[in-house]
Amino acid sequence: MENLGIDVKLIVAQMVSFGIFYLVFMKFISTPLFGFLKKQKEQEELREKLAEELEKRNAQLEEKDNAMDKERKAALTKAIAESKKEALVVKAEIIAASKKEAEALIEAAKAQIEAERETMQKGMRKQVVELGIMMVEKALHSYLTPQARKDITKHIIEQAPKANI
Amino acid sequence: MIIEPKLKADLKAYLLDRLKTKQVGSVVVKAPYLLGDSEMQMLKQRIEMLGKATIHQEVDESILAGCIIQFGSQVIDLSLNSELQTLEHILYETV
Repeated sequence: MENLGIDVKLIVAQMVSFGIFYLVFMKFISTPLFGFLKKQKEQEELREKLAEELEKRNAQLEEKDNAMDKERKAALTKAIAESKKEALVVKAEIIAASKKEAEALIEAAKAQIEAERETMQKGMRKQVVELGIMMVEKALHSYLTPQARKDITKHIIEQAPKANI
Repeated sequence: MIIEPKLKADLKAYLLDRLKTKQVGSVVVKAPYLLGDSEMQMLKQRIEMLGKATIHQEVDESILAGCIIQFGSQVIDLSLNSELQTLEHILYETV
């Protein structure tokens, strides 16, 4: 064996050395490393699971939010419609009240105009009559002769009722 | 209420005096000219009191025709002016 260049002792020593190395490697390096890798893998899986769950929850929340948003929009639309309806009713009431008030004002104004017109007509009538009588008086003053005055006086006395005073 | 006899007598005398004065009181007749006898006679026939009273005549140019008789606070208006006033009133009421 020695002639073939093979040293049995060296080979045995190498094999023992490899065995020791293997044992040391297996005990102190390989096991903790695999443990660490396993733990890492588990954590990764957990993280993925959590991420998935989170995404799921997110989706659920978004869905819920959408539903609430829809509900809110519907409520808002309903409230707006009701408000519009109420506003229309109030508008109609205000218009009716305003119309009534305006009609009352117009009636009052008409009555006032009528009263003023009547007063004016009365005043004018009075002035016309006064003017007419004044003109008659003036004319009579100018045109009545003494004889005419005497005749009229006589006529008036004749026509006067008898007074028992 | 007790009234003094003297006061009562005085009041009675005053009222009698007033009544007496009224019977023969003075009357003012206003006209645009002095009324003649015939006109005065006609007036006395119409108004009895004129026969008993003293008549004073006054000329009032503002009277158109007719006359106004005044005695005391009473007035009998028989003038053309009053007729015109009546006409004015009628016109104002009816026109």
